This record gives sequence, C-alpha cells and structure tokens, in this order.
Amino acid sequence: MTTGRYPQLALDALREIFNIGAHHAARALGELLQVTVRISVPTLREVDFAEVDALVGGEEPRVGAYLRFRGDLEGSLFFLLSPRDARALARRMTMLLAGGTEVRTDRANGKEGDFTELEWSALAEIGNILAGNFVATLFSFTSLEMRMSVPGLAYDYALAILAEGMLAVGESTDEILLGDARLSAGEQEIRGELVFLPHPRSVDVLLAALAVDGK
Amino acid sequence: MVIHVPIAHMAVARPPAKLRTTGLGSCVGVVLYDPWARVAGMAHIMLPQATEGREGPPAKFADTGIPELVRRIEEAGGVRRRLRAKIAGGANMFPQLSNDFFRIGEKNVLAVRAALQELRIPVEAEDVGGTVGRTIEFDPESGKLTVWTIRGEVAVF
Repeated sequence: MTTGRYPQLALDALREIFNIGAHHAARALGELLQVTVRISVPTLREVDFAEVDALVGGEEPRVGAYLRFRGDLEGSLFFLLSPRDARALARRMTMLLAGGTEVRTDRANGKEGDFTELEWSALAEIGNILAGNFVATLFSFTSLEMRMSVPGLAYDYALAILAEGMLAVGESTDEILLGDARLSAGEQEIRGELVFLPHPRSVDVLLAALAVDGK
Repeated sequence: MVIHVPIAHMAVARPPAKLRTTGLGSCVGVVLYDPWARVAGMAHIMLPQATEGREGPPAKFADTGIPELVRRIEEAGGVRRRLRAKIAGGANMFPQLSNDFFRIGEKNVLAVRAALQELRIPVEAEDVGGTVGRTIEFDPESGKLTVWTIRGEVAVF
C-alpha cells in the first residue's frame, strides 16, 4: 500500500488536474469521431510497483499509444485499448477520413494483433489528439509548458507497454503516481483507458502552479 | 503452484512450485537456479543501476537485485558455485521513440550480464532484445524456461 509520500490535498489537486485534462481529451476524441465519448471518474493514487500488474491487467493484450512529455512537467500518457476495440476505433477514424466510406483493409491474415499501416497511423493520430488536448488543458490551467513526443505504438502485454513509462518516472521511487480514466465511445461501446504517469519531480512544480501546499 | 513475480520484485521456489513473471518489455527476467539442490529464484528487473539516492526494492535494479537473489537462493539451500542463469527480456518496445535513455532494454541486458559475470554465474540461455514483450515461466524441476510472446509464440530454453 502507499507510504503517503504526498498529502491527500496534493493527491486531490493532481487528481483534479488529471480529471480536467482527461475530460478535455475525451471531448476532443468525441468531436473527431463524431460520437459521444463518456468518461469514468478518473482515479489518481500512489501505487506500489507490485500493484500495477493487477491494476492494468498485466498479461492482457493491449494496443497502447505512448506519449512522453518533457518541459516544466515530465511524465507520460498512455491510451490503452483491447485489440478488438483498437481495430473498431481505427476503422471509425479511417472511415471518417475517407468521407464515410468503409475502408477495406488488406490484411494477409486475420490475427488479432495485425494492423494495417492505415489503422496504425489512425491510432497514432488518436493518441496525438488525446495527449495534445490533455497537455493544452494542463497549460491553460497552470501555464506550465510541455513538449510532447511523437506517439509510440505497440501491441503487447499491458505491463510491457506501461513499464516503459514506469521506468522513466520510477527510477528514484519505490512507488509511482498513476492516474487512470476509462473512456467509452459510441454505440459500439469502444472502451479505452487513459493512464497518466507524472514524474515525481514534476509534482512539486505542478502543486506550486496550482498554489497547493504539497508539504 | 505458480508463484507470480511482480515487476521490480523477486521470489525463490522449489519443485513442484514454478516461477512466473509477465509482461517483460525492456525489463529483464533473471532466473538463477541450482540444478543439484533444485532451488530457483526469479527477479523482474527494471533498471541497470541503483545509483546513490535511488530507492526501491532491490529487485528493481540489476546491480542490487542479482546479489540479493543469490543471497535468498543460498538461504533456501542453493549453493552459489552451482548456480546457472537464464535471462529473457530487454526489448525495445517503442523503436519509434528510441533515444539514449530509451534504449534501456539493451542497458538492462548489459547490466544483468555484468552482475552475473561478477558473481561468476554462467548464463546458460538468453532470449533478449527485439521489439516484443515476453512472459516467462521457470520450472525448477526440469530447469526449463518457457518464453511466450503476445502473438502466441512459445520457446523453451
């Protein structure tokens, strides 16, 4: 369990900023896909490395978009989808880009993790839009600047994907701060998970910007 | 019985128990075993070095995790000079984003090899690198390490 590195007030402030960022990101995704995107109440807490497996379903297959951000705030944002939901989302996106025509994909075999280049770039673009809106929202509330990486995409075990962000923020701690929000889009019920991993050294910066006493 | 080893953690087992860790991306799974005493340990290592000021369980780092794993195996009746190693993981999960820091998988593998060499533990099998994650299971009874990928590939070392 947590050792309580951060007081409740600080965690609440962080959760609120994640909440606002995630809502804006979800709304932008909805506008892009022309569907309603619903979002769960985001959670944000300190988790021990050992807990992460259970939280994210470590061995579950996931398609993950990974975006790092640097600058005043450092950390990463992930958008995780089941392979089936990733395919549905990519199809929706490519269809809209093609002006409403369903885009035939030429997969050699129908394996779960095989995506066409078009589907893959549609998913990268979705990652970009979510993270771009998230970062812009944080900026408008805090005036803290962040540069976002290009999105990295992987189809793999959930933990193998998330660990990449964990080791970047977790080098100097035995716990990480993990924000988690679940999105669902449209009638097909496409579900995805937004995971936010702020770097501990950014937490004080963020709290100062929000005028919260983090000590 | 299968003992699950979480990320940045380690465990020791004897037959019939097996050791398993899931979702190794750039992390490295290290198995040390004494085939004579049939005792084995597994660690899910995240980073190469515990430099000053870094915190975390010993298994988080190659340089602290491997000596600690040896110590625990000895406690469970294993003998250091009989130990053999099998390692898997150290992938580059996001080649699109690669830069120095994010070639961490490679650095992890190098640090694990160095720590093993220092303790004079021979590496019997390696399944490292590439761009895909791995789930591994070790059977102290047979000394076999099974490696799976998300695409259903299975290999036994």
